[in-house]
Amino acid sequence: MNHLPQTIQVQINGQVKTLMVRQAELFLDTLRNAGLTGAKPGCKNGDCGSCTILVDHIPIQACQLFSMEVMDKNIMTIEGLIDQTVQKAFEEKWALQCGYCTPGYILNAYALLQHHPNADEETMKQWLDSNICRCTGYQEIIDAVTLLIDRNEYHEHHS
Amino acid sequence: MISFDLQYFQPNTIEDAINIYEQFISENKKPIYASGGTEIISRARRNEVQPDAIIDLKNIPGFHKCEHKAGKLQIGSAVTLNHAATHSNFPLLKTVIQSIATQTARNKITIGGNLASSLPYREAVLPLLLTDSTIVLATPKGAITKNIHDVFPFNEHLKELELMMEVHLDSKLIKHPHFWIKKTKQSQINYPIVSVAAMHIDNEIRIATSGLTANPLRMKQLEKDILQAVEIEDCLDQIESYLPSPIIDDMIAQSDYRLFLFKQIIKDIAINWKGAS
Ligand SMILES: Cc1cc2nc3c(=O)[nH]c(=O)nc-3n(C[C@H](O)[C@H](O)[C@H](O)COP(=O)(O)OP(=O)(O)OC[C@H]3O[C@@H](n4cnc5c(N)ncnc54)[C@H](O)[C@@H]3O)c2cc1C
Ligand code: FES
Ligand code: FES
Repeated sequence: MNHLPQTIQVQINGQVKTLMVRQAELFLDTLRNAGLTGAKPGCKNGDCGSCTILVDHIPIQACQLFSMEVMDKNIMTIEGLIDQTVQKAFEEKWALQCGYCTPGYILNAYALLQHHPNADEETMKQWLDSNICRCTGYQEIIDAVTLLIDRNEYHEHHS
Repeated sequence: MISFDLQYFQPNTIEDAINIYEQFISENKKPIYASGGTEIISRARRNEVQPDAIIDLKNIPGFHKCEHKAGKLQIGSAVTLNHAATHSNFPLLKTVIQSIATQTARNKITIGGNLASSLPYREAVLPLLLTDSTIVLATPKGAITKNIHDVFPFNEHLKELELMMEVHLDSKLIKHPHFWIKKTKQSQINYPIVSVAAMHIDNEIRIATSGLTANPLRMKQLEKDILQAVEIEDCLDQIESYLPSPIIDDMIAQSDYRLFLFKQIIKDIAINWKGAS
């Protein structure tokens, strides 16, 4: 048994990648070292959501994930979200200022809409409460996601 | 970043998990079992724990089950909090879980991790204490089943090598009336100053609490007192003497305030439910 770096195979944004990782490495660091800097380090403690990525379509904080855990998983980072619908709604509703929290919010909102295209207010609030924004007043973010729900943007994809 | 090196294992069987643990112990090294791994990551990042090996239990079949079978709700220890909330069909468990951490964090935090956490809160245990659950433990000699009251808190009762496989509880109990309150200092998403879960089961009022003392507690003597008391104030005075350890006194809340809140909550429960009991 040894501590040597391991090779992991993982699908990131539709491409299968083979990466060398330290066994103690956190996936947030692996992603950023691989040039995927959209996942942002904030608290690194599971509190702020700025590092949110999708693992098999489920939002997960990359700072709370060992790289060894993602072997053979399907990962989406903000770089892989080609569909710009959520981004445009954020723009329309002024739901960002400095933008640091935005990739985490957008992926979380995207996953919410995939899982609950008609999310009620309580469900939406519960999901969005996972992220912290130091700039906006949160209402703009809620407005952006509400807009997407009202426009039924993700209903077709889901059903 | 975790600054030290370790070895990461993802065994597919309980036997392998225990064998790996045993091997590291025999080499005078420190292994640790992980379910969600989030607490281990946070503590390792701060060098509060420095395991030589992480034994991730998530790949063991059966550790993900959450189903009603043979009259029992059975939840595997690697079931995430969100999965347990959605699939257990246990209203109180769902409500309690939805107040733990955030929606995203609950996609990773597990039942096993919450119950065996080194933090004082472990709020997911409260509905399990109220329903007198049983815990299936894996030991080097095979699986054993214990009453939750005999093995919780795990940090005091689990022997080296032992790990939690499943929790079982009587399916008939889950639909009984329940009560839940969590008092936090600021935002709703936070550790509790005090949280209280209660169930009204037949003629009993069952009460469990977190945040008051170093471990979550089922308050059996208080439950009896409430039923017998003519004046609820009489049993509130006794509460402190039923606690096995001092009330937490820290920067989040002073002990007097925690006790004050707890008494108010108990009073509300008694007033609401005594008429019906
Ligand atoms: C943002 C945030 C907010 C939080 N808020 C709350 C809250 O409001 N209330 C609350 O109660 N908790 C809260 N927590 C704490 C959280 O519930 C615990 O840290 C929990 O331990 C994490 O679960 P895990 O599955 O990731 O644990 P892990 O990191 O896998 O393990 C935690 C501990 O349990 C042991 N363990 C895990 N599985 C087993 C097993 N099967 N058998 C034996 N031992 C095992 C591990 O060895 C370790 O010591 C919060 C955590 C975060 C990150
Ligand atoms: S950096 Fe991961 S949750 Fe804050
Ligand atoms: S826009 Fe700056 S942190 Fe949210």
